[in-house]
Amino acid sequence: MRLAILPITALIFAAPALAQADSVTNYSTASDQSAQAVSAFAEAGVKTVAGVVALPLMVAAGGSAAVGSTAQGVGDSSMALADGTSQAGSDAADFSGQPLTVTDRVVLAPQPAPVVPYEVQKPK
Amino acid sequence: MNRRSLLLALAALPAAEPALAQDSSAAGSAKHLTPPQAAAFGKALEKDLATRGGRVAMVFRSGRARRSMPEGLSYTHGAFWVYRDIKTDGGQLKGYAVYNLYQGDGKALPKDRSSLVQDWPTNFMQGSVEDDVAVILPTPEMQRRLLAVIDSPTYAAMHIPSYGLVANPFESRHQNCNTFVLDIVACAAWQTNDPDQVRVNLRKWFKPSVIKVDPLTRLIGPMLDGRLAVDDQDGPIVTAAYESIAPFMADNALSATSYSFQRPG
Repeated sequence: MRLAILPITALIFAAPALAQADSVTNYSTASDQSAQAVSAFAEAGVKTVAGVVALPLMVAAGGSAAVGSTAQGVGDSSMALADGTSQAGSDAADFSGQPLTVTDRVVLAPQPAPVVPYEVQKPK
Repeated sequence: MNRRSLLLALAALPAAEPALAQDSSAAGSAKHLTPPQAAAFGKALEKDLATRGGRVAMVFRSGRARRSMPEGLSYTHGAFWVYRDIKTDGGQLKGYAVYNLYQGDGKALPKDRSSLVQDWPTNFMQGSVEDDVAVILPTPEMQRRLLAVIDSPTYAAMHIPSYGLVANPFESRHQNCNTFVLDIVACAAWQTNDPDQVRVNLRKWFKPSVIKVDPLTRLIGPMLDGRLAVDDQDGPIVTAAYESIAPFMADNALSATSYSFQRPG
């Protein structure tokens, strides 16, 4: 039993020391808080909108490359663009530092498909 | 591990505690900001970046309480914020999209693996347990080059799926969010898509963050959690963080500014 306690104890101490990065996805967090979040946004008067996709520059400018949907694995859409296209896209943008406009609406990603047990559960 | 080693290990752990200064706040970390607060924080930073004319920035949050962070480090997760046209169900808006490397959640993807995910400022801020983030705004030319890389196949090609909390930026065995950000910066700075060339260049020009860890922790940690892999480290544990990426970019004239952004009251 003591053999088991040591690794657990050691991990408790080791993880924070080594845990420099926290590249943890927020999906689980978002799911846990989903019910509260929806009502909280509404109660706070936050205007939200579902972001379908962030468009690479050439696509936004009227190009024809097809892109995916929702919060996607990056690379899916960009892989569809040739190097030259991407370069041209960045060349077309204005990098002069002039102020940019930003929507006042809060863009949200659709949450994962719902997972609801068939049988009645005890409320949390 | 024999009995003597076990006893030594048990004896050493209390001594390590002050240096490690861990706490149990991780479980509550996501609840530091309510969803509306996270949304407001994200929108405030979007407007700050837009006012500065920033099309590509790197933003770093604190996903762990400062008091439990390794010495000298204040931020954990870094990602690119890119000014985009955002297609919505009802039309098109202008704002920032966030380009992350996320470790697996242990369900859809093992925790010692990662994937590249694009989400939004609110998602990013929901992971913060502090009221500030750090921002690096690259020079206009670096922004142009970064955008070219992010929108090219090089971006995905530079991803190393094996996730390491303290990935060595000079090796190609593991990667985390910050070493990935650094790799993309290197691709843009040297205009290369060759991972080996990136490693060689970083060895020459990048001064990494050093994580102080006692030998026992270094020995046991990786045995218990794949994310704590240190098999890409052959000396002091080195990795990339805001605290090392910002000086690297400033020293090489790759950034226009870097700053801490406070959550509006």
